[in-house]
Amino acid sequence: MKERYKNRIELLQGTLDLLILQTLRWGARHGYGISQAIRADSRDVLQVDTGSLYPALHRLERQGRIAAEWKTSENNQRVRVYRLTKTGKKHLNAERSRWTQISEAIAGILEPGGKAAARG
Amino acid sequence: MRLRFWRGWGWNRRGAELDEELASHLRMAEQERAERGASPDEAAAAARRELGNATLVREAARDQWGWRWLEDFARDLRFSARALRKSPGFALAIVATLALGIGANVSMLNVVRMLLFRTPPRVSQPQEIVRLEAMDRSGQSGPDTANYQGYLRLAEHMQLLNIAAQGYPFATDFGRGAGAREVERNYVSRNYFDVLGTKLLMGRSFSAEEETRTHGDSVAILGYDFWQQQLAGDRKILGREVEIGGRPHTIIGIAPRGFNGMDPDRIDVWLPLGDSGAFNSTGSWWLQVIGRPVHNATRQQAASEATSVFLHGGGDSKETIHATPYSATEAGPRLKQDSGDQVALWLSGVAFLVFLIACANVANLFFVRAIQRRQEMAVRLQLGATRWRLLRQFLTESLVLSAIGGAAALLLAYWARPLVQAFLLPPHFYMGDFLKAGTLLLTGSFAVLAGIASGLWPAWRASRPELALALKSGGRALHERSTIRSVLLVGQVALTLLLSIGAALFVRSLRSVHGIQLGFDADHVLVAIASTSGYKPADVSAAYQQMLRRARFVPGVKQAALVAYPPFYSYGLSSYWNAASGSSPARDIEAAVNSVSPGYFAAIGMKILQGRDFLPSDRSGAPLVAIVDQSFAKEAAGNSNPVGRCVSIKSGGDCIEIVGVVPDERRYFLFDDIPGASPPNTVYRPLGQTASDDYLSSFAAGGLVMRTTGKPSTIERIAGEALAGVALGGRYVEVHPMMEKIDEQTLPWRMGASMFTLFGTLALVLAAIGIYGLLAFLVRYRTAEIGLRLALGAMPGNILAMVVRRGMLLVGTGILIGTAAAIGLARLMKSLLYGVAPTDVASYAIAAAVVAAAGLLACWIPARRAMRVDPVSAMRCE
Repeated sequence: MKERYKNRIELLQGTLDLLILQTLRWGARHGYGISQAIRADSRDVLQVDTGSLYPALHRLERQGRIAAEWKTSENNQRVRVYRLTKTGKKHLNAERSRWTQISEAIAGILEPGGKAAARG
Repeated sequence: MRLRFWRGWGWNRRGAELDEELASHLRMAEQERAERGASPDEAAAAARRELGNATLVREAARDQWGWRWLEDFARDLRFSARALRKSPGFALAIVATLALGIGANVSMLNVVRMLLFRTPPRVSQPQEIVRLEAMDRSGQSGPDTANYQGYLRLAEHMQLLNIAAQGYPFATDFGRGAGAREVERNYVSRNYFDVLGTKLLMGRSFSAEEETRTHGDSVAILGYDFWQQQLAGDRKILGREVEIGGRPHTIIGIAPRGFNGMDPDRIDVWLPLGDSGAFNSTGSWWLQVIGRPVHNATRQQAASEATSVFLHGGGDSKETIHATPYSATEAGPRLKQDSGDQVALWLSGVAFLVFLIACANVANLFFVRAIQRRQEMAVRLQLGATRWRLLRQFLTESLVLSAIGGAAALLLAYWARPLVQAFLLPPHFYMGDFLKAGTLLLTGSFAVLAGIASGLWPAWRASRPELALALKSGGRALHERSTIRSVLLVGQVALTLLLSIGAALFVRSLRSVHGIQLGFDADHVLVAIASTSGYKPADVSAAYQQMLRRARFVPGVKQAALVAYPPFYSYGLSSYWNAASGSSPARDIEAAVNSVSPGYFAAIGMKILQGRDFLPSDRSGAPLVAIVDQSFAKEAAGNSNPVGRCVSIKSGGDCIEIVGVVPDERRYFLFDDIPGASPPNTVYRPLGQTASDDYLSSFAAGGLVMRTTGKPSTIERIAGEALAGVALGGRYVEVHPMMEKIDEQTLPWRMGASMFTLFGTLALVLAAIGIYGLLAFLVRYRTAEIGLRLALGAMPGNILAMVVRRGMLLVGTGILIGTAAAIGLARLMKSLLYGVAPTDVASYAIAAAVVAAAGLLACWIPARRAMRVDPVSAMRCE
């Protein structure tokens, strides 16, 4: 029996939001563009499938962290473009620092002598 | 479409936008691949693959909007509506069944609520009303009444209570001559209606001057029912003059419908305090003082204030005034030993059983439907619907049907109100407004309960994931074992049997009650009672004699006679008699006394067993005589002939000769279990000799009895008119068939018999439909198998027997279980029955036979259809 549709990078769901917000930092993008940016910037490691992307985008929109509007693209096509809001920017900064803390903590566990080794 | 007005914003616009967005995403992905060198087809395919399941994406995205559940609910509703419209028979059956089940319950629970938790109608916040009563130090309650001066003093000085006064209800005359009637009146203070928060329907309350007027014209306020029934609801009633209690009164107001003050007894007329003969007397304590606390004054504060006012006015310092809640004196929910209330409670239980049966039937119907749709369910499961989704849709359907059923139930309960009023409630009981919030809430809860109860289990079973797998292996293999349905059906039959047994027992009780020997034949007796208060005994006697003469000429009256205490109308007096008889020692025998005119026994239908009736010659001055009943005769004379013996009031007193013996009679109560009701002995004296008796109080005639040739009700009116013509001072003469009075006491049994029969029949019909449904379904389901059997040589008779056997097995099991349950519950019912044991074998047998017969009939039709199956076509349709 098919299970409930799962977000494939569910583990990193909070992270997905973070990635989206980050890609919007320097400008507005449409949905396809966001997924491409994430793939590119992660050097093909993270491939966000649309099943996760669009729900995340709508969630962020509902939370007020991104705003969307319809624009006409170069080819005269209608696209929905997302941009970061002030709330989103604040949230992004908070999440970034939290992420840094967590990753350092994990690194500390995985390589206990790491820092020392690095320094040393 | 239901969501049309949502389209402007919200869902569908967003949905359309999302679709557009995904489409553009797809396009861009295609484009990029194409740019990188893939062929258009490859690009398209790859792009689509990357997108994944578009529908799921859409749904996941929409989930984020947070209104998903509402949208789903709306969609479920639409789906349900469509599905139900396609099978109207199914929907109708369910709605009808639920309407009956829920409607019956709502009605019964309303009745119980009204009987046990009654609040005085049209009184605002009745729980606030208190009654002032005096209590001495030891907690003994003193008089809870005052005189007018006492009331005035309290009214003037009390700040914490709004005070009003009421008297005690009593009968009085209304009108004169042909239209004269007996009415119930009460004296009330002029602010009575204000304090109770009751707005008069028409007119106004008494003025200060009218309250103190003790002579001459007065005023009156009429009760609603009296105004409607006796005065035809005449809109121009205000200002009319009518004689009440011997004084002319102008009618100045009409009370609102249902209002009777704080007590349940019906009041026809409210009169000002000045009307009362006790108004000016200081020694008479005839008023109850009631009040409503102002703002947030407590009862204690009011009581202390009242006490100080009371003491200031010279009251007894040993007493204090208490302010007790008015309703508390009726002890809250009155679970009296009253049979009427008990039967009402039982009937609620019964109604609930019917409700359960109805739910079981509905559940069965849902099961059938679910099986019919199992292919559809399997496909939906395959397509990715979750079990919860299917379940939700089923539940929505059942809730929709229950909602409609509930609405229909409300309608039914509304139409049934007159029936309920006539059969279940005491006469003149005001039912109140129907559409109270309580009723709606109750109906709603029942409907929801029904919907969930009957829809849940079938839905659960129908949405099993294994369905999808089973479908692949061929639909036939999925044999719904219908065990649950069979169990449900057995339960239904058991409940039906319980109800049928109850009906049988009650009907037999009723017959026993009707068979109670009264000692006389009440079926052909009319009783006439005249209003004679205030007249001298001599005038009363003369008036009754005139009425007696007139009565004999009324067409249809065979015999007429006078009696001091007509049975069932008055309780009468009793005293001790001394039976001196030569050999045996003189004993004191307690006996009731009654005075009658000659011909009384014939008029009332009592056979004279020994000796003779009174004669006109048995009058004052002639030798004293008496007629006794059998029990007295036995006690006085043992087995020897009592005729000719002497009895006297006190030992050695004048000899009163026994001249006749009559059967024992029931004097006032039908039933033995009321203490004091068992007929002690009765001694009858002739009216002519008791009118001025020293030892017995003056026995003026109290009533006139008439023996009628046909049914007494047919000549009731004529007799009334004839007698009114010679009534004292033109006052009322009430004429009624004696059975009416007696019937008042048999109400609980009549009620039980009729309602149990009604509910029992209902349950029987529902159960029969259930059996029919199950068997019809089974037959249709196993058509192939039946066809095969027939083809292989089985006789149609065998098939018939097979089906009938299957059905009767269920019925039989149900009957067994029902019988066991009935025996278990028998003890509870004991107090309600009369003359029949709760385990009466005959009743059980009859009930079982009826249920079995109905079951057999229900089996018969599908069995016959099974018999006629054409083997060839049966096996072909697979």
